[in-house]
Amino acid sequence: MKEFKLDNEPKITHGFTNPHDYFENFASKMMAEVTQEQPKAIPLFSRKKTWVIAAAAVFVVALTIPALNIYNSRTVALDTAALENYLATHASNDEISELLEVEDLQQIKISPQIEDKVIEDLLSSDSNLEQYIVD
Amino acid sequence: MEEKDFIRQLLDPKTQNDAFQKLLSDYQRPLYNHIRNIVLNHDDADDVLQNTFIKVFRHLKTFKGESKLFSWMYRIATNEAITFINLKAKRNGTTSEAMQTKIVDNLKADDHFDGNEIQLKLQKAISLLPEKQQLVFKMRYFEEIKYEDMSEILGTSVGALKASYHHAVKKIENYMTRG
Repeated sequence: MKEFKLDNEPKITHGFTNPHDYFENFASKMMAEVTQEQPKAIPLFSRKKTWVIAAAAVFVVALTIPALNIYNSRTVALDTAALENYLATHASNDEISELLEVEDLQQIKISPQIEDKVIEDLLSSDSNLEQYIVD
Repeated sequence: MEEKDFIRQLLDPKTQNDAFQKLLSDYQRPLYNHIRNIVLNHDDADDVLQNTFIKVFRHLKTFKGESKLFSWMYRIATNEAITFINLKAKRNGTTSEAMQTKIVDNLKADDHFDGNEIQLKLQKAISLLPEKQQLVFKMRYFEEIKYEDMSEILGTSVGALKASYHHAVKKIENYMTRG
């Protein structure tokens, strides 16, 4: 039996074939495929988009203005109440009087209903009575 | 053109299309033959070739130039072909070896095979080899790829590849004499 030796035989090709024009069609098909794969350029500056974004920004700002006012007014109201409470519990009469302006004092209207007898008793018990009369 | 310049052209959007067309023109036939040798069937080879070029296109940015461009592309093609036949075998509930043996047995009826008896017998002899030996034999004998290039593609030493080819040739010669 004759030994088959690969190197001694003429080159044996694989025997595979492919359809006519296969490679021409393949190249076109691949170019179309990779063109679809390429990312589309997105313009950094688009006039239409800029107008839309600007309009949206104005709208948002317009909506926030009333919201800001409400917040501020509440803050002022809260601060005044908190301040009054603090002064009432932590500040002395002397400290409060230092804070008050003349106009503030004039606005304070007190109409106490005190009997004359009560006033006399109060003044007679104060050792600075004579000084008050002199001043 | 130097390979570095060509890769630069492939990555530059302005020159990419022309450069990719050149890449296709230079490599579609050798890559098709390489893939066809592995998957055996034309339609499967067509699918794998498309996947290969798409992968090449998508991953060009990651190509570091540590190997030749053609080695990198062949590596992608080889992996895609092997993955393809493994997946196809799994879908058919069989092994890739059994599936390839069946394809070879039916090669005579394949519209895209016009080989004679010797060519058919050689394909049968190759199909009986272990997977790696088949690959090495086909790349060396049919595609005439140098051992140094094959080493870059398959990640195997030149010595191991030469040994693998030598064993493959012995088994094929034995089959062709007695089979």
